[in-house]
Amino acid sequence: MKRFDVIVAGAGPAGSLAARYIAENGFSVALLEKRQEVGSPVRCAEGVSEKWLLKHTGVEDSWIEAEVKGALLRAPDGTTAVMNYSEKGYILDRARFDRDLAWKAAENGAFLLTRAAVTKIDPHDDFFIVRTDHPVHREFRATLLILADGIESALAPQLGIRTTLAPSDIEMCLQYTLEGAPHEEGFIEMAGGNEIAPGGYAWIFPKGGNRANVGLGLLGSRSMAGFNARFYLDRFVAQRFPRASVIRTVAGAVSASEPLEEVCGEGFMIAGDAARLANPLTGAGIGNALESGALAGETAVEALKAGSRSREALEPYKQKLMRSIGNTTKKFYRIKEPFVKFSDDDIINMIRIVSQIDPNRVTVAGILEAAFKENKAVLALIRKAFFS
Amino acid sequence: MAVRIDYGRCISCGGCVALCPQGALRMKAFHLTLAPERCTDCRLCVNACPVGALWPGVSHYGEDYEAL
Repeated sequence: MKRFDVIVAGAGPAGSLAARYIAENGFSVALLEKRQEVGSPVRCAEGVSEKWLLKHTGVEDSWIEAEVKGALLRAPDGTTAVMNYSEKGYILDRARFDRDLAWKAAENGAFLLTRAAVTKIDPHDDFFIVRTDHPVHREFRATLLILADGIESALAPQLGIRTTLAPSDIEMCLQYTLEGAPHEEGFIEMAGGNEIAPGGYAWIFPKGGNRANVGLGLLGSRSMAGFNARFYLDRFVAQRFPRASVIRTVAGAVSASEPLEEVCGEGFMIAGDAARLANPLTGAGIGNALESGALAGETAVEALKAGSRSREALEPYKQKLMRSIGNTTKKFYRIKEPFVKFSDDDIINMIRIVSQIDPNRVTVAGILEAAFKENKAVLALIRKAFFS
Repeated sequence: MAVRIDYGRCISCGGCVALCPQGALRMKAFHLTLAPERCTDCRLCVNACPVGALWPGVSHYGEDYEAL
């Protein structure tokens, strides 16, 4: 049986970054991925803010499908507000991005294994036995575990962490990559409304030329058999892009919940979507995944150097994570709760107010303030979330 | 009674796995599986599935065919 210092389950952005950091520091690490090709199939709308890439991966031309300099917010009655971003954003080619990150981890000495879905974790006193299946049965032994197995997060429950999401805390999403979908270049578009995407929003993310990721998410509790994401997306696409061809279909779920209470424990850490780190309001998850992967890698290296795998040795992961993104995610969660209850009129009012502001001065905080101008409790929350 | 999976529609997104309160739905790599003995037919997954790949359980398998 092969032995490793660390086993990372899942070669998404979080897992690959963690594995790379651990390998760079001279520890043995296995990166196990269930896909037969890292990155594919994609389950993402592929938007990311430049600051996260600069912080963790750098920016490579081959990853970038389009640059984003702002967002258009569209109300159900057609009112549109423009928001120019203060920092650049990108629409990525996630298949390539993920693949390159995993390859870089392997280049630095991580043992990358594809077609290896981790199915069983056996905790022992000072190590784990990790079993992979589908298709090949293998067993590995590791001192530390990093679980970055995405939204399903099927491994954490084996270690006693409850990861089930309430239907009101999950966005069920479906997206088509369309060819022949003309849109505003350099802008992403977000359309809200209870006829468009109940408890969520529809998005149009440019992918260069007339190609775009067009998708929507609706709150799990507002989705009904027959009136599911596919129903709403088909209707949205038929209205907006009746002549477009669907060149790719992507389904996926995004957590809209608070981060897990316990993101680490005896010998293990949980990172990325598996730790419920996606932004509950916008659904953005790549940046937070990168950050959590980097922190998990860092903590693993420190713990290994100190020769300890106890809960206390991994506790810094939780603290650092909460300080950098966890607390913000929690605050966004509290704003999301009243936000998903908005009627169409509320959305129209909000976008009307925002549309009168100079696009260069529109911020997420400003939009939310417009949204909750009559709700003092929520306003206070927003100020706290953005200015503290 | 347990829900049923329409593999013609399922695109293995894993949303239902995150949602299932009983842990009855699992993803084996990209193959969704159901442990019928755990399923309580609560239908959270049936309502939430973005592509309509999950169907309510039926007590008699004949029913569907009659409806068709």
